[in-house]
Amino acid sequence: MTDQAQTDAHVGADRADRELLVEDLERRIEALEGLDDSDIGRFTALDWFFCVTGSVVIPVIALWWFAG
Amino acid sequence: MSAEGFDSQANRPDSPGKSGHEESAFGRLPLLIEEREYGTASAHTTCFAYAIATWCFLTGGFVAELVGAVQGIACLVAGNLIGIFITTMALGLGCQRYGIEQMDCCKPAFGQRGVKIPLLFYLINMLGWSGLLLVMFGNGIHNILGALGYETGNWVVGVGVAIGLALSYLIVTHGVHWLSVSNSIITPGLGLLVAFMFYKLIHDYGWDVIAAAPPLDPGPNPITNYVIAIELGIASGISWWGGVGFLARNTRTQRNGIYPEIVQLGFAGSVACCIGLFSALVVKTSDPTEWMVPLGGIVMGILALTFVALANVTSTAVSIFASGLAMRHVRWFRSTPWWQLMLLLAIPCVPFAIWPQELFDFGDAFLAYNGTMYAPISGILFADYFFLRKQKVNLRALFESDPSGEYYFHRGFNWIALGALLLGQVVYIIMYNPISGEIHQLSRFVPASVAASVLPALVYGIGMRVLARREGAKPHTPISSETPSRQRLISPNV
Repeated sequence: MTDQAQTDAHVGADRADRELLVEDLERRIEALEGLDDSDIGRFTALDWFFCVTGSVVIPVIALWWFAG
Repeated sequence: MSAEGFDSQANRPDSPGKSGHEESAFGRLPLLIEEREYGTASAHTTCFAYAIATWCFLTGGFVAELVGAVQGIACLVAGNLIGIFITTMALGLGCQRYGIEQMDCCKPAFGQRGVKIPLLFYLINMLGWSGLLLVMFGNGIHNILGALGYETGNWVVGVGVAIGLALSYLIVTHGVHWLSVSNSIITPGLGLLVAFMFYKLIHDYGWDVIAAAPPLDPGPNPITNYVIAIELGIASGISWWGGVGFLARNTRTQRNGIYPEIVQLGFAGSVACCIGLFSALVVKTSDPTEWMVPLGGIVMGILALTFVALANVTSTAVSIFASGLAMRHVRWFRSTPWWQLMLLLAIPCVPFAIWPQELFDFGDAFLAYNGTMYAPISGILFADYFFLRKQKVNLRALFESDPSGEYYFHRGFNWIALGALLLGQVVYIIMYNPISGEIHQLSRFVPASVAASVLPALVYGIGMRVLARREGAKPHTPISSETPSRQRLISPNV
């Protein structure tokens, strides 16, 4: 095989790989866009309450308390 | 990053014909739910492995320079939790919902090209930490030789940095699978080391001695010291920005995208920082490599030092490896051979071999500067994801480089987000200048990181609302939440 033919074959293979990659991406996008909240588990108001209390409110109180 | 992750990544960077799963897990394709690795237990385990690392000792040492044990605990634990909250909520939930990595999660706010700015910050963060860990490796060698009775000059530290960098380079180019092997030893080993240090501290010194130990190098004003220590604690939490997306996108439920990060990175990580704080206070130096011999004796000390040195090399390799993956976002580097990319990323660490101590002395300023970089980004992402987009992102548009794409904005940049980011940095520097150590009176009431995330969030949110109103309800308004079109991608950016 000549150098030119080898280069063409390599470019062709790269293009085919990329087309497969984009096809896979399209498939994934459709699958993920179709997900419902129940598929990934809800992050509820109660979760927010726990996170805000544990990561903001209590730490701020602790920082204020120990400042003195 | 999990040990299994590194196993699969071993051949990733240059290997053609990767499977779809490999490409999605370690490339940029969004991860499907069934491909995600972490359930509840594994998410906690992986986050714990992330959290217990040698940089915890560095952070504890920096805080020990300013405040004593009691205030230090408050600053490290509370600060870490606040920092993790700021960083995690939008990024964690966004990356988890769509299985995307964090740079893609930033695109709805910053634009297809604007996202290069957070990417640049990410690289600064990763390579800066790498440099500090390499100096710790060099200091470790220096101190091991010292403990064995060989008096050496400080040049050994520089040589150590160079050796550590070369080892890291070899690992990321030739033996990434060694990371999975060494991580499976180093992570539990570091956990044991932290427990051993805590036992020795309590047994040999006692809580009364630790609590009474004065800070190592405090400024004249105790309130200023406390404010800066809080800032270091928050910055320590915010520093996790670089790892949050990877962890969250690999989890299967929203809760697993958040709770392990708060509990392990925020809380468990800060406990390890506190052990570093106590050690620094009783041994009276903030350099972690000088703690091991006084705490453990010659034999245990040298073993621990050797172990910490190895842990530093693997952590550096992880950082350089992750930076290489991030660089694949830049079109120029998508087809660059992996070894060249790694070499390019190793170059910024070279100055640490030439001026190790000088650059190490900027460590606390660098830690705080993480707040400068990531606090505004986190605030902007919070406003964008929760208030503007109501947790709905056009996934297709994230991978669309064509100018007609929803997140292309103006020439690929969302100038409102970039302006808000700049504002956040200015606010931070006014509130607390990490280089000079000066603080503004207001930072006694509001930490600089919090101000630097809330203000940009407000400016960004209002700016985008005004822009959207001006442009009307067209499908491609900057904050459109309409159902994304089903048309094929015009110019996919994978």
